[in-house]
Amino acid sequence: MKLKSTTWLSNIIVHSIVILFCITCIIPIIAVISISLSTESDFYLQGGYRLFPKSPTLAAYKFIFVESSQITQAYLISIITTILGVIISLILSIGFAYPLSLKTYQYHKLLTFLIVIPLVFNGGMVPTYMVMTQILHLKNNILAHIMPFAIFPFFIILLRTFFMQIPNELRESAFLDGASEVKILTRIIIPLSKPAIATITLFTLLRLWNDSWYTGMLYIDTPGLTTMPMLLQQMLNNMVYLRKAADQMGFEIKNMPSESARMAMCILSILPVLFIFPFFQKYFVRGLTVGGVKG
Amino acid sequence: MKKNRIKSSNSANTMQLTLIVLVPVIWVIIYYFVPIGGLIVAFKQFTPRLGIFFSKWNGLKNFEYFFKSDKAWRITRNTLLLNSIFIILKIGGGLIFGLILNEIHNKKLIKVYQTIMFFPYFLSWIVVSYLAYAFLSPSYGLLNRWFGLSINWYAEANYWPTILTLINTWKWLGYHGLIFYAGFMGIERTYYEAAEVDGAGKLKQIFHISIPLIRPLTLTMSLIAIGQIFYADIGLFWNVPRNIGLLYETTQVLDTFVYNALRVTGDIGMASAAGFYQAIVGFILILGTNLVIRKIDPDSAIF
Repeated sequence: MKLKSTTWLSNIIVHSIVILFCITCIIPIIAVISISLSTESDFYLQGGYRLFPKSPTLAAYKFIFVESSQITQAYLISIITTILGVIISLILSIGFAYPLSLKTYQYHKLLTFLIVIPLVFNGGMVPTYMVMTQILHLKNNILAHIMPFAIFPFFIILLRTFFMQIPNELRESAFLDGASEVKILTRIIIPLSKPAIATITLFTLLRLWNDSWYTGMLYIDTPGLTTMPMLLQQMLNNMVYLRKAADQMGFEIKNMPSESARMAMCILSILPVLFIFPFFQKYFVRGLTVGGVKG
Repeated sequence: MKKNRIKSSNSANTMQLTLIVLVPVIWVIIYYFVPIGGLIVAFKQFTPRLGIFFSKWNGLKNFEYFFKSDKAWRITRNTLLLNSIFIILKIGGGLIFGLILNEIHNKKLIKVYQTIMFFPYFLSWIVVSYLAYAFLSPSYGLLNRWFGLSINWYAEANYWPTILTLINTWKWLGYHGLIFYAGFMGIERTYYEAAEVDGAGKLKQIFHISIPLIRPLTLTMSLIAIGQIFYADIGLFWNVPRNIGLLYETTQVLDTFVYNALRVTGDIGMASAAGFYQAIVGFILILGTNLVIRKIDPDSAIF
């Protein structure tokens, strides 16, 4: 029922503000897309980027797919680490959360302690780096892209909360039928927890894909394990410095992909995210409000 | 009929559960607890050759070194100042947008708006740094083109507090707006209807119903954010200003400083001292704010 106080004026104001913000959300992406579709020489001729390319071309994308094995390799590494990462993360997270959710489990209190402490105290970058490199020897190892994202205390608690809502009678009757814990977990608990598991899968997937520049910055020096975000990061760094150098000295550096190619890379790296975006909508608010507010 | 009740906590199950939880627990301990012990590196003169255990102790030398440099104050100030502004804008902005979204009754439009508003959250900071570059590039950037300027954005530190604030708010507004929107949705319609009967207009309704009832959520969100105030979003601060030395004055924060010292200059002493500083202050803040949350809304406290 619409309230009487919702006048056409308040409607206009409200919609305008939201639309304005939505526009600011979209424009930057349009800009980058347009740069990726522009002819490189136009930048110099017209004095800069434009929101809509004067002479659109797919040259940048062609360059990426045909001439750059470096980029396709980085894309591949990103895909591999993301998929592996999600699998490992789910196994470890569910494996932790399930016994955690059982009050009758002998070490239940210990598990609670183990998962709450990381929420309040973090050793920080230096000690974590030391552990990963000196103790685990994961420098330049693909696991360096995966393991830091394997268990997030926040998600464990989310899973635990969800598991706890499953009626105990289901477990009891499964025991009567002689089921093992693993069977209970896989046949009963997991199928009933699809929303929670979907939520953390999506979040973990997003992190694994987006944030590998961070693990790369810390742990990876070899080109063989470079992911898309890492590549983008290196390119942007060079872009800023190179432009200054090129302007001053007046020449183009041959091997660097052009500005449009770099923007094209950027767009390509967003594609998988766009793909899972609609699924996110469904689970997001629920995951946020249940997990975020109630902790 | 006697029901044969099987105890759920018999030893066979305990063993099975323990087996399930073993590897995850080992990982949690290795990744989250062992590094806490690794904080001792701050009190040692670390050399890679000797490793963590055999490097020599040097007491508080690293801390002396860190605090005596002008950097300690600068990065602390940047971290706290910028994070404070970010918090106010994120929470305040999120609240306002939640209110606004709550006033929209067209279900389909809301979905569209939500989808678009949410989009920045999905982009990694790397991508955002490219978006920023499209605008801020000194020679080709849209900002200089549209407004006829010729400012070298990546060389002037003064503009960056504003730039970083705008970008950060842009990225988080949709996310927080959604949280508050969900919060406002939970308020009973009957309150508003009753208020209408009493003759209250829209503004009165907002100030006397929506805002007071959203207080717990606002407080919780704020306190959680304040607890994190000593930790900067390294994604933002590293990627968008591109680690350009000229901009350090206003863009370098604790996290980027630690990374720089750790991986770029190889100054482990500085890095670990600064990291320790951050961990301790951060811990006190999180603990403190959690105690406050516990008093206000016990369900939201961590423990």
